[in-house]
Amino acid sequence: MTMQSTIEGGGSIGSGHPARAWAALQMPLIATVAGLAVTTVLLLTMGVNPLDVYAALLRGALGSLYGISSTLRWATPLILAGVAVTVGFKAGLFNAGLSGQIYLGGFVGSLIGFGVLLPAGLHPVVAILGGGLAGAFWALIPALLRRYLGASEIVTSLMLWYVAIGISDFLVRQFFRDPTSAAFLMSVKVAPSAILPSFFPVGNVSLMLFAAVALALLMSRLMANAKIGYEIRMTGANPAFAHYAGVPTGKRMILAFCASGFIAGMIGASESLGINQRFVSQFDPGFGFDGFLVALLANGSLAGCIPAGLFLGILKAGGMEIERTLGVSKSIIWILQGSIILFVSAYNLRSYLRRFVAALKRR
Amino acid sequence: MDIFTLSLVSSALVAATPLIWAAMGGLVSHQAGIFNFTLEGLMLFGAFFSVLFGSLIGNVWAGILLGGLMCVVLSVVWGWVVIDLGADQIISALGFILLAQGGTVFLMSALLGQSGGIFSPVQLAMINPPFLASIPVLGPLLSNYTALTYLSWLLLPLFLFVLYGTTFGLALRAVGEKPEAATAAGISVRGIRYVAIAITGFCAAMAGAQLSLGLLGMFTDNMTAGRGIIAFAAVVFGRHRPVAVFLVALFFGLAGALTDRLQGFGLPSELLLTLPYLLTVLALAASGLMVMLRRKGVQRQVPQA
Repeated sequence: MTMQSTIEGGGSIGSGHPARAWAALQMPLIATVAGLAVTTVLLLTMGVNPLDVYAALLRGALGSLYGISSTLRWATPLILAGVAVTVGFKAGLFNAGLSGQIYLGGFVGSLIGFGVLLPAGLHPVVAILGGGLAGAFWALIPALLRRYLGASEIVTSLMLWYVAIGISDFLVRQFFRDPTSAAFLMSVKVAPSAILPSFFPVGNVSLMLFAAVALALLMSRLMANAKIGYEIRMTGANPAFAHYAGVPTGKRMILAFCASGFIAGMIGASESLGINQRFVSQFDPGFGFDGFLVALLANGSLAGCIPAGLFLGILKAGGMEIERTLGVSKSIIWILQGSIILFVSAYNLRSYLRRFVAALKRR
Repeated sequence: MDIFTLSLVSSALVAATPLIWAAMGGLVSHQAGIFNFTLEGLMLFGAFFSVLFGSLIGNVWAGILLGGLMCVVLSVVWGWVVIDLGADQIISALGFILLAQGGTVFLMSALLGQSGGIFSPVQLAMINPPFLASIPVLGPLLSNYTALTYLSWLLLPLFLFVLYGTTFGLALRAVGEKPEAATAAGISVRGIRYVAIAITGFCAAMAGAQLSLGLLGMFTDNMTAGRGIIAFAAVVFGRHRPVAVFLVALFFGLAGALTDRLQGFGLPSELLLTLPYLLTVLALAASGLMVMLRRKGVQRQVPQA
């Protein structure tokens, strides 16, 4: 079970060759157009003008300073989630249970946030790294099961997502629940020293945005130029060849999967420390799926996760505006996302399109 | 109060019904060499459309059948994406699941102006077959289920017959095991795969209908909550053999029933609810061990015929 199709164009975006960049962007662009076609048809059937919807989407995401802050706020976890999934892809693994690692990271991050006394500059850093470790630990289980028993990491990591929710919610309800919260399960607030500050004039865009961009670029360099990155890519592309070349493929697989989990855990911690300033039950609106889409759009490029994460941030921020002003359910955005994922690996679409274009020319 | 009572067995049978339907449906695709991860999405669509059509027409069976038909269509669309468009089976299936989550919420809001959930005016009735009730001990154990539960038991003999006793079953298995040989024998690999995917779509829809019309009498957002993935795990664990898959689905149903039962004993529900998922992980680990011992597996990409 390899993620062959997604690894093929790996790392070609930004490498300076327009032809290769186009090859890597081809399928994501075709799939996005196909996804827009699906939502357009659906909206037309429902008697809604699709142009109104897309205009509202862009207006909500980019039309005001608040909209931009909302886009950047969402882009932060989305870039990280895309990087996390891509790091797994590089080793030929698919971390489908990203959300579980995010959840546990959110719990441990806020635990450090309200349970430990540290100076202001250091506190969020320690809490986010702690959340990362929790995520890495949660990813270690499927990684070991895959390495030693060949159990599909896709299914086990997805199942462990539900387990992470159960454990975190149980511990929060039992020991750390905010006594003033009635309907929603949430922990006590984190210490003021642990709060991730917002740098934007409006809204709440935490400093994590810079960390996300830096991490994407750093991982990109690491994968492209460092020995360890090369070994991981080799393991993903051709495990048998890597093995005979002397790469400890099992160790590299486990390392890459845990790195993916570490990044996921950091997402949970930064969401808890920056946005909610506490652990809130069900705080993750589906970053696992979103990260998957970011990674697919970036098509194997870690730096490509930055624009792809921003694109999805626009969709998320704009989705709220659609619902608020037009009364169209923001679930139309999920349909768009789902359709893009459905088509993004459908390579034969290209030959269908070519035949279609050829038929048009003949007319 | 004892935990392991007869009523635990009957609640296990209830909890297992959607898993049996979905897993048995899924194994047909697997037998034809299609790694079908869409079960979760199909179940969700099935749960929604059976409630939608059921309440529009006012007849529960019309709703279930039309919901099943709708899922056949949607399933075949996914089949087109993987068979003809050559998409990765897991990636596109995850897209399908997201499409189901978004699609059901969107249609609920666009068609009915509702959010969160819809109650169904019609529901599946509980049946007490008179010939079963007269049997001592077993009688009450085998009574008071929906028709979909009884039908789910018939799936096992039906699938055993179809897969191992008919030419269609032989063709299906040939397509899964050796597509080249099947082509050489004049079997349409593509056609058989489409049929298998359609069967999966219908069965998974029944699983969804049991959840919405049989258990709850309503549809709620994302109500399948990973059951389709558990059913998929049952297919993998049972190595797509009907008897094994059926038993694994029953076992997962028992885990679900046990979860509900133990909650009544004051154990923390959050931890108990993780039980079926944990068992699934353990089952996959065990299955991996077995596969490693036997050195055999299911292929990911559709082998080109």
